[in-house]
Amino acid sequence: MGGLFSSLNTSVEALRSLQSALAVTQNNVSNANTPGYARQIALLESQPFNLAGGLAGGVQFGGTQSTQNEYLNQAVRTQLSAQGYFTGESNPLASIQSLFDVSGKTGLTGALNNLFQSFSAWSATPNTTSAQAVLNQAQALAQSFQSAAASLSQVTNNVNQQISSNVDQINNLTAAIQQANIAIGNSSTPDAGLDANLHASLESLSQIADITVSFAPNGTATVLLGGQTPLVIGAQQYTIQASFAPTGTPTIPNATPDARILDSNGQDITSHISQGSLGGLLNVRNTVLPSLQGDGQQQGALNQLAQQVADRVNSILTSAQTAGGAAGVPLFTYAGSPAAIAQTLALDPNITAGTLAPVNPGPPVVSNGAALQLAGLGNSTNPADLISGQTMLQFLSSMATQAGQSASDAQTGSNLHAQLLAQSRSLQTEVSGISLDAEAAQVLQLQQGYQAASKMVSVINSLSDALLNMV
Amino acid sequence: MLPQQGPALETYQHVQTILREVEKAVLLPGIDMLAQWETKLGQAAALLEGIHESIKNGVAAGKSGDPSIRPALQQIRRMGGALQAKFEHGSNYCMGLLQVRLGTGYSERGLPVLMPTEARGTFEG
Repeated sequence: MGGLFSSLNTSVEALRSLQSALAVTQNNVSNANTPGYARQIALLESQPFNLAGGLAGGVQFGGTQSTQNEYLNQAVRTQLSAQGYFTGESNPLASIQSLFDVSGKTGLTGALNNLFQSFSAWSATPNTTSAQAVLNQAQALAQSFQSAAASLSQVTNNVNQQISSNVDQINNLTAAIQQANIAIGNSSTPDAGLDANLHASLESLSQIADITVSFAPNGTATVLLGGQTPLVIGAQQYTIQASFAPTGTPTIPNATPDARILDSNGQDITSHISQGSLGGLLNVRNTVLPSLQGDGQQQGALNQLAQQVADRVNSILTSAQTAGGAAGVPLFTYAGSPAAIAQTLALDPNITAGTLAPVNPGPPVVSNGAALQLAGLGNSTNPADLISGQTMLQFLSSMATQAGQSASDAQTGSNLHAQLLAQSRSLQTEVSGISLDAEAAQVLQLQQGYQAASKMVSVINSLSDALLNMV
Repeated sequence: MLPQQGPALETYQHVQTILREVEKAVLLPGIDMLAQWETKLGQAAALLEGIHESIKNGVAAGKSGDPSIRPALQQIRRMGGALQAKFEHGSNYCMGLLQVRLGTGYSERGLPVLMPTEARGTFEG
């Protein structure tokens, strides 16, 4: 029989639908500040209406539809990765930049300028006092090289720690995504809370590395690192690890080996990571720092400069003579591999103010010839004095400029992508975000609508009562 | 047989159809449905009012009402009662939701007092 039970069922279903639909609004308001949460829309499905067949019509709550927009989510993640890259680069590059004083008065640049000035003073007045000043400035220069090398080593250690921390964060986040995938897979209906957790984790992950995300029909996420290395596939997590151990036989022994990221099978996947804070840190660690301090394949600009200064100064001095006719002795000494010259540069133990040789034996003999040659060494264009086609001072200036430019580029890139990220977030919020005013206004308008309709129905009921009394 | 019986029965059935449509429409609690509810309920009330006037005039002229239309009227009354319960439930639910989420207390008339409008990120806590 159609009548009573159909009607009762429809009424009960109606109240449930209404409650479910408004619960969605309530949930939206409650989660306005939940990271990764997207506005949910209630779906109400029409039911067949055929009184004769016992189908009383009405609607049924058909679950919720998330307003997550993967296109916009991906746009946000892309900007997070780009900004993360420059943020990752920014701090270590600022530390490196501070090693080079572009004014040329302090640090390495100041020490090198001071040495050449002391050579100049010594050439004008080649006596014990000016010779001692040369030794003092040479000592200061050696200490500056050692200090710069130690600072670069410290930056390297800091970057190593940050890389390890980034890798730990990636593993923690992929574990969270794996757990979310398991929960989503076990859930019979879409769960906005799980969905919010998943998307919040994906956003955090994209800040650290460039990830590619795809979703299965049941809502679980597959996450690839750099579009190639699996991090999470369904209920399976693939951890990665950082390695700072040397590989193979380096061209330059005892140099600092590059940092590597290994997948769960131990394969080197460093080249897959080009974005995110980890990408920025890897670029500093494996490109910027080796270009200065060297690695297994290159000597590094700092060592090149230290070696060229030491070798050329020593070469000129050992070809010269003291005023007393004694053969000159070298000013500098260094030991170790070509990638460790800056950190071991020191005064030769045999050098004294008396053994510093200013005389070019010629012919013709020039009493301050060697000292003059040393005074002009910084700007000498003699092919033997050049480093990569640049004079010593030009080479040092290029290093400083490059360091400053890289730090500036990182800051500019970070600012630019912060703006692009804000734009992407704005679009994302427009589509998936929750306007509390709008939600509240909707509820208030609905309440007034229900109240008005209730009054109209009470009029219908009064008329019905009156008519029933009349028939 | 009363002269108004035939048209009255059709009218009652029309009112029933309208109330059924409202019953369906009320299950879609959206802002865009409010105008529909109002229009349809207004139509139903106007139809019943017309019959009421007609019967009242007939009674005044000494004619008695037709009891055969009683079941149709009772059905309308039942439907009206169920609809009113749904509307009251919806109204109370919205009121409760507003009070719990956005309210700061109750007015003397028992209505929720809402927070003043201001920019804020959350209504939690």
